[in-house]
Amino acid sequence: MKHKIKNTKKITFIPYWVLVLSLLFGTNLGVYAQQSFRIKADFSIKEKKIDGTDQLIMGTVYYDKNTKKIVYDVAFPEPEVWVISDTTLYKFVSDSLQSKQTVPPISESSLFHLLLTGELKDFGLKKAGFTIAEVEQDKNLVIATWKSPKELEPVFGKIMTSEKDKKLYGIIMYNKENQLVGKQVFRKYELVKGLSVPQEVLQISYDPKTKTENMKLTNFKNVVVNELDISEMYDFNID
Amino acid sequence: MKNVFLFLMLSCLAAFTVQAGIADLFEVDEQHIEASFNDLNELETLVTASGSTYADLSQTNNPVLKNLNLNTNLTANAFGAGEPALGIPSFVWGFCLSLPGVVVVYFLTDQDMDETKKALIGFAVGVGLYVLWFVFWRLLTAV
Repeated sequence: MKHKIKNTKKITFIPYWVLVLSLLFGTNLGVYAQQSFRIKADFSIKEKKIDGTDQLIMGTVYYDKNTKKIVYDVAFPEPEVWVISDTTLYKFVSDSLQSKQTVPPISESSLFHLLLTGELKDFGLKKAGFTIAEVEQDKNLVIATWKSPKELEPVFGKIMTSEKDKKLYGIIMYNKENQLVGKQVFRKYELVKGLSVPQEVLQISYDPKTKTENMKLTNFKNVVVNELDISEMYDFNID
Repeated sequence: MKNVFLFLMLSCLAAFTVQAGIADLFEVDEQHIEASFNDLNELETLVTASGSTYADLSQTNNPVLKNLNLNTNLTANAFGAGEPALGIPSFVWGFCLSLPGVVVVYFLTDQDMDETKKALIGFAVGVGLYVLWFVFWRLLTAV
């Protein structure tokens, strides 16, 4: 019995230090995870649409993972500010609200959020409930084939992602008929304050019925991480 | 023996061919992309250098604009926000989540009645299938 009590004392003593150590390390890990919280970049979106029209949008984008507002300060074609906050898209012209509409809540699945939370490597598929069915290596790419969660099976076909140098390189999406419907390529990575940011995202959507494609090329430059000035742009006043 | 060897060789070759094709799926036709975005790249360079808006450029009849069929009306789609509710077809919302799914589609598509109708059809089909299954099950257990 005495022996048992001794052991119990010892056991209670060790977890105390383990607790202290884990709290110390845990705090440090938390600090690292929180290191990147804001991103700003000059952007250009060029699009060749299926209907034969062209589009160019240029400006500066701001995102803070705490406020979860994507703020597009557009300079071309005309000065406008577009803010995506939760399920609403606001359009401001000359500081006054012009329109608002309900949109899907895309902030947390946006490139900016995935970048700041370190989830870009799998494009947030794991968090969305997708599971890896197969991993293969070919040339310089590590390719994963993803299985959709049960409830999304009627919607998604096969999804494949590829990594190059441990960074997301591409995503391929198929429909239920196993026809290619979308391809995205992330390239020209730049390291900004420890964050690998793709400076070019090419997105091609295919319409298997009409055999046409929509191409969108997004470029980012002058990327700034954790900017503390001009906070009002990261938390744009929408009231 | 010869046939077995030939079969093994062909199998290896086939496996290698399939394997080699996987990375190629992620390749893009660089020349096609370069050619497609040529005029837009030219416009981007011009705007970066001059800081002009579309209104400024159109007033000067800039030749770069002539080669483009420029759409200057920005919509939610331009910012990746104009997809169907969460990218999931409205029918599936109604079918899988019944009435709450219809409500989600109604609000997320900004009260788009066409999409809401699709969700309602999905809901009706879901209910219909459930009723059929229930009747079938009752008949089966009654026997």
